[in-house]
Amino acid sequence: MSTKRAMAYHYSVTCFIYFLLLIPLLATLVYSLCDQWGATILPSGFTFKWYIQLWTDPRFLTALYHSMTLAVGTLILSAVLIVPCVFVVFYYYPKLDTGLNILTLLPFAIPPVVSSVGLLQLYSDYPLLLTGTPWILVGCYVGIALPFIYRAVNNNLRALNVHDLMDAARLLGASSTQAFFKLILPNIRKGLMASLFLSFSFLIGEFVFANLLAGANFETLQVYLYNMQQNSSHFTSALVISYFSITLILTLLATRFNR
Amino acid sequence: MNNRLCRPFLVFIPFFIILGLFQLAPLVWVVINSFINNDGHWSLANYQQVVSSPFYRQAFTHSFLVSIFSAVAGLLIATIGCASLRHMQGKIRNIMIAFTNMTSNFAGVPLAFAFIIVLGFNGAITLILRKWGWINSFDLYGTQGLSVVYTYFQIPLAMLLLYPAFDALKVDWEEAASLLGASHRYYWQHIALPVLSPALLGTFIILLANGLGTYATAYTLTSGNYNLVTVRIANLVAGDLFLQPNLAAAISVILMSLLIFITCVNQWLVKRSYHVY
Amino acid sequence: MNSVAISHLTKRFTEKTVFSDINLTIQDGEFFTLLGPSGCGKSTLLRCLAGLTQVDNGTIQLGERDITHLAPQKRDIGMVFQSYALFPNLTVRENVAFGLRIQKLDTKQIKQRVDDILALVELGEFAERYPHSLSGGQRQRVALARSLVVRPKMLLLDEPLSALDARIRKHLRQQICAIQRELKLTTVFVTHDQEEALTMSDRIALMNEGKIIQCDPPEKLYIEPSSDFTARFMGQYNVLDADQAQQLFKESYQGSLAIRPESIYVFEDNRQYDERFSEKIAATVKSHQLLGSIIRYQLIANNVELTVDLLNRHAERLFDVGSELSILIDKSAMRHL
Repeated sequence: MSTKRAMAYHYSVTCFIYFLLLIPLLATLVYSLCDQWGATILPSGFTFKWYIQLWTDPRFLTALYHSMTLAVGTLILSAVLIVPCVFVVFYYYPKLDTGLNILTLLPFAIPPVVSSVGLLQLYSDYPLLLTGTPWILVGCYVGIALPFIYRAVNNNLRALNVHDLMDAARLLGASSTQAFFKLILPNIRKGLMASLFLSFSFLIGEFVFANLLAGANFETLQVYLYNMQQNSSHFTSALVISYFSITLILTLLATRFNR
Repeated sequence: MNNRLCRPFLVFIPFFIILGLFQLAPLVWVVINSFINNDGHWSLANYQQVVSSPFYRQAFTHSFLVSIFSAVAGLLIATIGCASLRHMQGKIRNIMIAFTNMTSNFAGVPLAFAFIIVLGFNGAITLILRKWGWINSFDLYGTQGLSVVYTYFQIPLAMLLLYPAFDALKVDWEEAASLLGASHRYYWQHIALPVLSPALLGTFIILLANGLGTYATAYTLTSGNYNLVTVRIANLVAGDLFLQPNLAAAISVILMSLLIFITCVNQWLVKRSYHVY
Repeated sequence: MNSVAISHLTKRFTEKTVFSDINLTIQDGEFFTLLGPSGCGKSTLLRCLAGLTQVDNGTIQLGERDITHLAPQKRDIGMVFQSYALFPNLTVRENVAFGLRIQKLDTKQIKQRVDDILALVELGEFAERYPHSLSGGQRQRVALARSLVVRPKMLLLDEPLSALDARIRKHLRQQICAIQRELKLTTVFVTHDQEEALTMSDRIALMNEGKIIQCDPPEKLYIEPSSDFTARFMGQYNVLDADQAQQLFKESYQGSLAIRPESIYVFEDNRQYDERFSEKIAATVKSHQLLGSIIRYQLIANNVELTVDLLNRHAERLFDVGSELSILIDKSAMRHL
């Protein structure tokens, strides 16, 4: 009775909110698949030509390649740098955990625009001429990936009973380093992979650093997207949908890994 | 310190070098240089310029207006949404949460493009609304439009942050309250909302910071013509005209100080919140 | 009078029927227990009484009133949850006062009644504390006070002791019984613990798979199980089918047989055994556990496994695993099912 009415309310609220969230995506999808959608409410002329045009544009493919290599490179570096640190803090210096935790929040607290002010001044000259190169982006992106990787690895370690595992490994004759690589790493692999996929979609979507620090010298997907705004909006729609499909696949992979 | 405890410390070195170079050094540079004037002397000239300029004051007003509006609206919609999402069946709920996760990534340049298609001058929704006579024109490129776009990307973020708190509301509480004679409304007013208040306040701060720090969406949507703090900062360090990095630094420091101040007020409210009846 | 009449009560969830055609009468002031294994429908039945779950068919009457479709707010029923369900943002006093504030009593009256009830559950000094700073037993007493202070016509207890540790559980058990008797409050108690049910209740309804198997006072339920299920659930009854019974006593039996573990005796030379007892049967000790005042043995007699409880009276009488002994069974205590 009243519970049925309540359920109807909950369903309609949820549907309405998700419909709102879906509208821009759906409209973009339709836009990217039609020939013309001028000053009319309904579109006309179904076509794939915008996608074909996009995926044959060498500039797009270069930008995609840039984004991909940048993200993968950054994530490998981040994992190599961050995972041992989180483990060492967790296992040897648990008191430093709060400090590290605050450090991971820094990239959230400082807007990228603000960091860019300092970065542009510090690294635009010899001996550290980094602006306009992908290297400065790698450095900044490690900071973006840090909170995700830190959280995931830390949660995994908490669930693992690390001290007993390490003690057992050492009683069986393994050194601490061996135990870390052979025992701890395989056990946190799942959570680590999930966090890497999540960071990946964030890095692919990063615009501020990419535009301000590297700009035209190293055009990433987002910067390319921005530079294409004078193009036909059907073309940019195809670009948005392609971009979004890539992140969608990654999010799905991430949830798969999380299970 | 003996060798066994010293060696693990080595793994911190590369980590701190990267973090120092790209997170801390720029921050320190910004803070120091905000106090250095054009002639290279210590002074408060940059701050004076920001405070006395109506143009920069407008940037702050705009930024806060849009951010506060979008944070409140996003929080409100997310709260109502989470309260209902809790009652969905497990499978549907998981799909919804995954979708929220996904849309929380949909921000910046692509989002701006999508909104131009939907709500731009000839956008599909604009046309529908105009046809029904609800609006004459919708200015996507002004305060109104930015508020809508900002709210759009705040909703999924707010839901992701809030949902765990809603999950911690126990069904038992509402049942116990109802057996003691409390209506649904009374329960929400006296139990659910007070219990949720720390999460709501915390989420509000993150949304506000998120709104204030947003650059890409506004920059794409208005080509930098709408006066926002982040747009001003970026223009002063990477614009076409004269660059004034020290002035940009001063604006940055003011922005961060305001954020820190709001966070402190918020923390104080969170500490008090559980004791309010 | 606050008696309860439940007739033809039926509840289905989308796929399965939880219970159907339940008929029960609970007397005014009675401590009535719904006992059964988890998933037997006892908690759902309790939730139907509270109005938290809608019934599909049948009626519930509380006193003169038909409350079948009444909202929980209007039933005058108090309930204590297994999880305590205390409001974390309110102090003990505010938690207890919650229901009274809704009734819009004046402040002085509320204070008086809250103080009285907190004194009754011995929590007066904790009034200004928050639930998170209390122990499990204290929290459950706050929950009890909160549901009693509004003077409900009936009290429902949904496994209120399950989350507590053994010592506190025993103490709170006595406290609940004492309060219930003092207030003469009609009470329905749900539990899966047969010992709890036996010690606390005036009457017990044993449930299994949505059916009431047997509804009797505790003594009768324990001594005279009417079915296999009751016998197995109520104690460590040895339930033997016809073949096993025949094997054990070397005479033919029809139907199954329930033998309580305390009605099996170890043969002693210097004692007289009258005709109540069976013939001597040779047995071997398979294992034993010390349960405090009782030692529980698993014996094999004529290839039938039996559980036997002996009083832990003489330390030297502890039989080792593998020892041979003779047993006698008190036939008058045997139940033919």
